[in-house]
Amino acid sequence: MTAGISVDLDSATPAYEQIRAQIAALIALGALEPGTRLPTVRRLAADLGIAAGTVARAYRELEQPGLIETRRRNGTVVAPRPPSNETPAAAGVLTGTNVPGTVVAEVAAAVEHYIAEGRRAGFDDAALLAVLRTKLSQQDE
Amino acid sequence: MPLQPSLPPLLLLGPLLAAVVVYVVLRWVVWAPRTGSSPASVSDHALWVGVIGWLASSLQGAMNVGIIPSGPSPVGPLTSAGTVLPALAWPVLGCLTVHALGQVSYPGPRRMRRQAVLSVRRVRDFLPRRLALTTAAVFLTAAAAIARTAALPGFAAVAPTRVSDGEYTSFNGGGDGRIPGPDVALWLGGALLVLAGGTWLVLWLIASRRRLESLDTADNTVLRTIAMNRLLRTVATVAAGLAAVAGNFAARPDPAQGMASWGNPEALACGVVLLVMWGWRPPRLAAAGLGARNRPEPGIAAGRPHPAARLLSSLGALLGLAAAVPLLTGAFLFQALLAAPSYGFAGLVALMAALALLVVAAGELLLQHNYGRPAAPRRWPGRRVSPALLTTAVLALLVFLIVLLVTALGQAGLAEGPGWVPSGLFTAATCAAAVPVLLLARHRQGVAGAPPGLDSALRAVTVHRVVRTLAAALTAQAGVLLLTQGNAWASVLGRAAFGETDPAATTWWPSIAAGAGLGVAAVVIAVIPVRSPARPAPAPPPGTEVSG
Repeated sequence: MTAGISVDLDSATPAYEQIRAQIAALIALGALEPGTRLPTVRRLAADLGIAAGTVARAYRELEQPGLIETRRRNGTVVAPRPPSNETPAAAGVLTGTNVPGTVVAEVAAAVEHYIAEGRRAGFDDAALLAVLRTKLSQQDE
Repeated sequence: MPLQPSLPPLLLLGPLLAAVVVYVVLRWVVWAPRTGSSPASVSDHALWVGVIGWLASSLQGAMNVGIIPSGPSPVGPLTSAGTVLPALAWPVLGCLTVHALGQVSYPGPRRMRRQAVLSVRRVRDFLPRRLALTTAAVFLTAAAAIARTAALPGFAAVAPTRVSDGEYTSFNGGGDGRIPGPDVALWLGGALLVLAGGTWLVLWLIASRRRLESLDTADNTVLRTIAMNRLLRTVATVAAGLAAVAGNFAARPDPAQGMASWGNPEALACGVVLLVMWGWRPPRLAAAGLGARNRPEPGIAAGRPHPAARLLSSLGALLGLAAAVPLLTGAFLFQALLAAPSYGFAGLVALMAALALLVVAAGELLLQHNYGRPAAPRRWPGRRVSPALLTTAVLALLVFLIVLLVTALGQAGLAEGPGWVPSGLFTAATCAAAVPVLLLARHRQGVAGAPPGLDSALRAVTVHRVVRTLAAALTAQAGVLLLTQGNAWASVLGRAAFGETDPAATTWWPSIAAGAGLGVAAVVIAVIPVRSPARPAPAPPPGTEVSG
């Protein structure tokens, strides 16, 4: 399974924030294991066709809470998790709370199930996101 | 053996121009102006890189490195730095440069939604292992063959003895000489090292270049493997060629000792490597080949294509054969063709074009015989030939006419025989031979029961093939004139115009270089692919991945 990100240049959210949030989510979901080497700033910027400074800022903002580390010889890697049952700051960065690791795994499984069922029903990405947003807004009311 | 302290500035202009032309061609192929970059255009681009790279890798001009000819030869001896360096540099650097240009000619991302995979790409992630090991073995064998030459001594050439009985004259004895082995080992070993280092650099470039947004992750991976496959196959043949050059040097007997026969087993091994690499096919992109991940192209009916379309598609292989058989025959009769330069090579080009036109005409006749009905409607396509091919054909005609005119002027100035006349006549005959084929395509009976648009599309394919053949023949004939009538050009432009300083030179290298370039261009034109009768599909969206 490959971990990938996408950046929507039309979005109101800055590109560096999209990159930061997606990488943090992947770490929280376990799709990026601790020790996984990330592409260099220049390589990821070239792949996305955006400025290297944008990627560099996203990496800096991921380094601050300790989600990733930059090592001289091995480049940028996903930081090891602290020796506790709680997820590291990844989910906390996303949610602002301390979330147990088992709950994160259940959420990840539920998301994959939702995507699989949605694909079977013929929904594309935009439709799946629209359904999710509608449900979330209904629950907020 | 010292290098020349300075190079004529125009010596570098040729390779630079060639690189620009190759880049533009590759960019045009992959970008496909009408539809944009798509899996089909990316697949075509990979094929073109392989074909052009293979064409650029020929070591034919370097086979006699280190050999001192015993008599006058059409090309100068390859025994000094000034002659050996270009002979080896062109194929080694040329094929590497083409593959590198193939990687940098991909378009950048244009969509507003960009995607990337969070993994570190390494060469070994995409390297086809068996092919890489085979290539490494070829390199090691070539290194051993080259190292062997370092221990071989040089000896002088001996001119053959002229024996005459009054009626007949013959030549006995004598033979070519060679320079000391360490010099040749230095040149060939250096070329092999440059080839190995350059191969590694291009492999790194393939692994590290950005992904293409018209392909999903799996096809992006396969594309890198395809590029590595084509590169490794090409450099393996070049390495085998260097070994053959070393074998040609080592096998020469000392004419002073009276031995006459000799063989070059390395050349046989080179031929085997060539055939093996020829057959070592790369994987295919699933998206370009209507694989499981792909949607079917719009406009193509579900199920099998019409038999008439299959018949016309199958002619592609026959066309290649029609051109290849005379070419291979010409390779065996090379010396005979050299003895009659004004009409030998021109006749060979005309024969290849005529056979190709014959195959196209036979295809039309078969279509009419098998599937034609008098009552079926005859649809003449609105656009018979793409603007790019039409432009190419017009340019080829212009280039040929200019080359013919300058050659005629030059030969008139030198008071030489009109060596340009056979080429002109053969070319005119080729153009005349194309007319009945075009008329056949125009007036053929319509295909009964064909889906809408198929009959006109089949006629368009035939016209495309005829125009392509003519464009390639014109370009090749212009190249032949430049290769064989270089002195005429030297007399018109001035022998010293491009830095030629040897007053005793019997050939003029700028015309040879230009002729070779036109020859390569002719081959490239001859393999311009025919588009399928259905329009290409827009690029499918990349497949889903785990993403944040």
